Amino acid sequence: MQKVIERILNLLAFLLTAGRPVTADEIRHTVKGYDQPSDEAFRRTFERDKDLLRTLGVPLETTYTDIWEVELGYIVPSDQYTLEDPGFTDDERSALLLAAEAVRFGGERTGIDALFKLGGARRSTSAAPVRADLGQDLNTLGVLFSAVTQRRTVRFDYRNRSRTIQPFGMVHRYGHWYLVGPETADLGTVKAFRIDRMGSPTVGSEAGKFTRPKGFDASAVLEGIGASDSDETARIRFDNDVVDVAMNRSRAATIVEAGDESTLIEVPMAGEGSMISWVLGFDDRAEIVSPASLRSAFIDYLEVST
Amino acid sequence: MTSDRTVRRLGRILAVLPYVIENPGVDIDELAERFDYVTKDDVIKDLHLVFVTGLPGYGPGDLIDVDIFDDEVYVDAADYFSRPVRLTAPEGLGLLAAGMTLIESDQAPAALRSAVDKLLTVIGAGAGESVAFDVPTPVHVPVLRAAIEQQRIVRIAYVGIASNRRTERLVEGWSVSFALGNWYLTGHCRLAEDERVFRIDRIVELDVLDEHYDVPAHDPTQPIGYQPSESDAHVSFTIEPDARWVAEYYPVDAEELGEGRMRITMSVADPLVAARLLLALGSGTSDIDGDEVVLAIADLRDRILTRYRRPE
Repeated sequence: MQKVIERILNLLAFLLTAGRPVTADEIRHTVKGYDQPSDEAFRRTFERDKDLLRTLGVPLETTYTDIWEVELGYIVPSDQYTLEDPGFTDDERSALLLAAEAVRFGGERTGIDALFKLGGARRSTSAAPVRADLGQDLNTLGVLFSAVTQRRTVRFDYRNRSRTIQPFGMVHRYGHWYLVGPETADLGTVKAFRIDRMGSPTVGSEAGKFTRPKGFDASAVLEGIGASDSDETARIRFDNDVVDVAMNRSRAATIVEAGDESTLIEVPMAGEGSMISWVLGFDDRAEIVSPASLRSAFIDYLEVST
Repeated sequence: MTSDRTVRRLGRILAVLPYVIENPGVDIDELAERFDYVTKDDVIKDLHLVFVTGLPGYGPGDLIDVDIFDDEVYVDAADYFSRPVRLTAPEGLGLLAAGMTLIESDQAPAALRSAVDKLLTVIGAGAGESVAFDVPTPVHVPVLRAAIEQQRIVRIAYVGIASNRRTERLVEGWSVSFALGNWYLTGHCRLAEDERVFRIDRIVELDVLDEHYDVPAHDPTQPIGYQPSESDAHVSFTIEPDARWVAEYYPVDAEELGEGRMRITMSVADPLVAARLLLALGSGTSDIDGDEVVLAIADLRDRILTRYRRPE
């Protein structure tokens, strides 16, 4: 491992100071560590080293070495290589470390290495206050996030159809990640797509493909989904044991009548299917009282289901 | 082989160098703490490795100059490494998401807000408005955290996820965590006389008592979610394409049957949990195989329908 790291440090130092595109051949004969015996061995080593640099975030680009466009060379544009210094204080770095240690992505701890780039951090004395796991692995999320910030379109399969969208933003809500934006085929409607249900997402090659509307609020899009347009409500009777659980889950619920054994509450009516599965979650501790159509749909559902 | 360890070590070296160049004479102990090195020797090993690298020619004037006097570190002749490498997209999002989640959950130290603002300037224009984290935090969360910090017993009334029945319990809390979209309390339950995980939105009453307890020395971190056990019930069933999310959402074995249909096999601690899922999937499932679960479905359906048939 030591030799690999020495070689790559030499390569990066050379690329950062060359100030012009350099060919693979020049690297092989100039940079210490590329004395592999065969062309094939050199090529393999060099490919691996390039991958490794890119994994670390080094912008390694290829471009022609002169205007005749005969030979391709490698260049690391120094203005893109470096991280700007936003002037973090040590307190701020420690706060970020606390957050990075508290939050996991699909079980993986992530932020610590990124924090090194910001100057590392000293652990504050207070322990991590809470722990959180935001599901989804960061590699998928990172790819989609770069599409959002660089304003590139994203194509993916979703519910048996291929779609291309302009990703305006990302939202994490109730344990799921959503990519939010309009399909290019229907720019008037902003939709939310569950990221874990996307098939093979690919990011478009061109940056700056769209403009995010001014003042766009990604989470407002999700608020709108599942909410009903009408003022219709449903009344459901819950056993007192579980009524608080129901109230905790639905922000807009109100109590109509509280009895000794059960409580009647009123909630905004959502789609029939989602109302039925919500009430099913309470087994026989809940009963739909009205509307009558929802009550009979619920009974029909149970009587015909396997 | 380019291993993750190589990436991590090289990445750390490329972060340590700018810090030392910016802060000449920094103490080795500080570097170890800041950059999460296990020992001082590990820092020195990395610095010695840098010492033999540099620019073509690789003579005394070309190599990076690293000096350590009395534990103070100096680096010279490496101006090209004077700034850290930019953040990758996963790195930027990871830190941002971690910071914003903690802020949203109202559990953050004050410095985190300004840290996230500065982070946003590095990640790019519009990054702040393009990501949102909705972490609904039940009122019980801050109370439970305070109780855990003071090591005080809590009395909870809890409605079980599997049973939907209410029980009263005394709990010695160990941690509060957010996962799978919900908040959880982990601790020793005196009713069960064992370690238990409680979903906080199902705690319907909460009292903090004056009685104290000792936290066990081992790190009691049971992962949240389903834990397999020998007494589990097993069930297999076929799902239609619109119910494929089941295979991603639950820990199951899934076998493709073609045309988007799948055969799912799952294990559950309580047959009722699978029964509730299958009942909710309704016509999206067929060919259910597993006696205990099939019985539980029939029983659950009867119980619910009985309630609807009785006179109001």
